[in-house]
Amino acid sequence: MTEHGGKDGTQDRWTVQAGKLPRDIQPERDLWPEIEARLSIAEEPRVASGGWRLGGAIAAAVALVAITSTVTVWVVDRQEPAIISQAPAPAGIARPARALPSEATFGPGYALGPKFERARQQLSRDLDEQLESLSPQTREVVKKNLAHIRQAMAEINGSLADDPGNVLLQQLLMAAYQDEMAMLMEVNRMAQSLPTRKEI
Amino acid sequence: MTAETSVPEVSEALLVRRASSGDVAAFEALYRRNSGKVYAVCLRMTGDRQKAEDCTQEAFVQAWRRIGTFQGRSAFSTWLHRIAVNQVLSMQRKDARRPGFLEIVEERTEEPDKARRPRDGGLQMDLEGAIRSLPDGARNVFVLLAVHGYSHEEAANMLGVAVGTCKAQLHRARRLLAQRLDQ
Repeated sequence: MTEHGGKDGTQDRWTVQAGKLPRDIQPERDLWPEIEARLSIAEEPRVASGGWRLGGAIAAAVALVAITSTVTVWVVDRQEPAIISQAPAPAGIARPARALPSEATFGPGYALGPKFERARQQLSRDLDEQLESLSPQTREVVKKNLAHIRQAMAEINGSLADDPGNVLLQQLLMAAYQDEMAMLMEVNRMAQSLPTRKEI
Repeated sequence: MTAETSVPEVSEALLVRRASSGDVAAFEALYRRNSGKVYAVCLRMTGDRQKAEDCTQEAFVQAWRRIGTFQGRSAFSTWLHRIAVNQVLSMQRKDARRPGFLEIVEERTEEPDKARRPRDGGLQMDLEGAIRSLPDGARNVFVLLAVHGYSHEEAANMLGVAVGTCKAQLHRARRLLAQRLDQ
């Protein structure tokens, strides 16, 4: 046991009190069943598993860096006025891929950042034109996926309206916005790379 | 749960040996003995029940994978704490990246923590609340040193920071706690 005093060697009241706090707090539910289920997976050959996981993590990190950098460059290049929309959307309403949901308040304490919103609006405006340049099959896949993402956004946002302080919902909504942005950017990239492919 | 009824008499060292040879029942016994200690450090460092549960689970899964490397130089609970602290730090790094990502959300309120500051009530609850409101770096150090009794060297080693940083963070934590609790 170590004592951590002030400069004069004495302990302040709150440090003393902190030393009396319980060091053993049982979780409210038994975590063992989930841990046990994961142990059987952990028993698989470790090198291969570790390598795959590391590879996946690196790929994800590279993808994240790539997306972040691209959008940052893209956003910085644009000099359009900020459009910040905060009208709440009704819960559970499915939206077509082209309809841009303009809600998302992330609860009372947060709003979409203006740069993000600006990039999103611009990419969505270009979407129709870019979709036309893709093959019908690809176009359908993109539309379907965007519709799914936007439906999820609408549903989460609806739930957030009932429970604005729910951190899990806020994180889910944020993740859905990131997914949507990644999809819009991928369409943008694919559309712009098409002439090059034809040349090849 | 037949394993549980027989474990109290078994020494931790034996359980570790059995677990490292693949005995899940022995590992469960280690979990039962140590889950509260691991969860407590995760809960105080994250300040969030769900995250604390995630970190605790992940810590035990990691411990299972690495138990063969445990050499008994420190207490098994200290070794587990080290793994748990790594999980928490990893989660904090992820959380720190997320809000900044594309500035997807912005804080609209100036002092979001103000409403969560402890007011009246039990001393322990006030203190737990005030610890939760500390910035990550100060909270991590304060929890490991003041609550769990680690030395500056041990805490610095667990957190991957210099001892001087650890001391500065403790000083900061104490100053912030005094500001928030002595008002």
